[in-house]
Amino acid sequence: MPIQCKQLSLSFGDLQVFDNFSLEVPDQHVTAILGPSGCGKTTLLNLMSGLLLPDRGGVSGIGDERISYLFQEPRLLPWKTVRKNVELVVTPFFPPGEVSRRSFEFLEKVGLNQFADYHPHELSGGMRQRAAVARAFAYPSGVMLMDEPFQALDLHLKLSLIELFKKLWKLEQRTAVFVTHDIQEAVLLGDTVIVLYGPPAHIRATLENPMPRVERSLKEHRILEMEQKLYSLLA
Amino acid sequence: MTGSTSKNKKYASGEDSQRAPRRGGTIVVKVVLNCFIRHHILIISGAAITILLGIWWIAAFVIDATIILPPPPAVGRELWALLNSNDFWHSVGLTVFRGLSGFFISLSLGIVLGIAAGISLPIHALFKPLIAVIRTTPIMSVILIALLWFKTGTVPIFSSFLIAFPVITQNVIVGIRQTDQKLLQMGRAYGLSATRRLLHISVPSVVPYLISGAQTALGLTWKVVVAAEVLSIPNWGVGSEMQLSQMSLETAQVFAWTVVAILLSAASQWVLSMSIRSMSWSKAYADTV
Repeated sequence: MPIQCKQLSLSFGDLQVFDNFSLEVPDQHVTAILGPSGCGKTTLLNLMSGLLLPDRGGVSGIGDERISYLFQEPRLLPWKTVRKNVELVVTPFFPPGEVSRRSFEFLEKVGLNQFADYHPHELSGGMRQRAAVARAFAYPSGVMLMDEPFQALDLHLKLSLIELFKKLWKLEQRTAVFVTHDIQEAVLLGDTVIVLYGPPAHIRATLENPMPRVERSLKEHRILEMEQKLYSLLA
Repeated sequence: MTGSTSKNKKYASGEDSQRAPRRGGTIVVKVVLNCFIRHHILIISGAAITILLGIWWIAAFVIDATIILPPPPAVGRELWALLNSNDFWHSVGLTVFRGLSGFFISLSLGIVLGIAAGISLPIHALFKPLIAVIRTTPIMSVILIALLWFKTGTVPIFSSFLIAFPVITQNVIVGIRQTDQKLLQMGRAYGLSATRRLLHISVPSVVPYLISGAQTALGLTWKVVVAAEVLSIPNWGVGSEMQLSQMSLETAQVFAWTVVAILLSAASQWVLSMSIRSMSWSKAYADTV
């Protein structure tokens, strides 16, 4: 089911962040929302997930759907090992043996199998974010909301995590909404890229990605063309 | 400050080792300097203790009245005599028992009430006045009132409980309130139930606050237990012995028991900090979230 935001309005004090804002996110599809800082991207995710309630309007399509969340920071519990961090969110949905098997399986997929029993402070920033990715994918959800999850990482780590995402998404289709201010991330991951401006938030453009997810790279001229187009829209 | 001084010293010793072949006797200076650089913190502390003992000794010599200020060797002899008596361990054992009883009762009740008051404003409002009153009551009033209510052996336990309990409760309340909102939001986003959020996110967040509360509380505990023993004079106890020595004007013995009380407190703090050190994550807590 597509996620539909219908006529959302929300203000923080005097600041009108959303005024009659509507948006539809297709099912099983990665939608990148691209926009400058402060245009209401994170707030939009919080409205979709229900962490925030709008003053008027509503979100449909998520219903009882479980949501995996990826934040700007890894948000791992420092007192638990990486393995326990993943198991914590998975526990309610599977029998005990399956919980540990599934958690470890996803840690393996993000390349952290050897670090499963480490605490977050013993890992590098990139490894912590990969652990958060493992948690997001191990959690049995139909929707994945991502709030600039690569923001704190260097270019190399960012590109390797993007590849990891493509691989994981191939294994398991989920509806994903991905918020970013980075054009490269948007063109590499987004099947659709929505350019957002605000406040109050409004859609400036909607671009379909011309290439299938796995073939996208920053060397492909069609991707570079799209990057150019987005650049002129944002600049 | 310490870092820069130790750097300067290292530099100085480097210079010194270059000149060493040209000067006879520098080898001794070099050894002393090296030793100083390696253990300078220990040496400075050692020097401070020596100076304090020296001042004490000189003062005792000037006053020249053992009953007012006994010299360190007299206190040392008393301490040695105490250590070799059976009664000594009986007294120390009972004081430790009383202190730890009070401390652990405060700890367990403080954690339970602190968590409850930390998550529920009505419970906090209910207990806030009581905690505020206990916190501001003079220690001596607590002990004197306890003397009217309890048997002598119970007075130190009750008094130390009453002093330590608000400290621990208050710290736990602050710890629960300071739980990282971003982690709680993560918990909500992943659909963790309120109980699991409390158990896995809020309660572990309290640990650093609980540790600092426990350290303060433990320090207070020994002071209060000994004071309560001095006033209530139960059959055995460091405070009782101190009081009895004072009444018979055995000043050196009062000093010796004081040393025992100080060592007791220091030992318990050491045990506590050792157990804290085993929790490696508490150090790196801030920058991993």
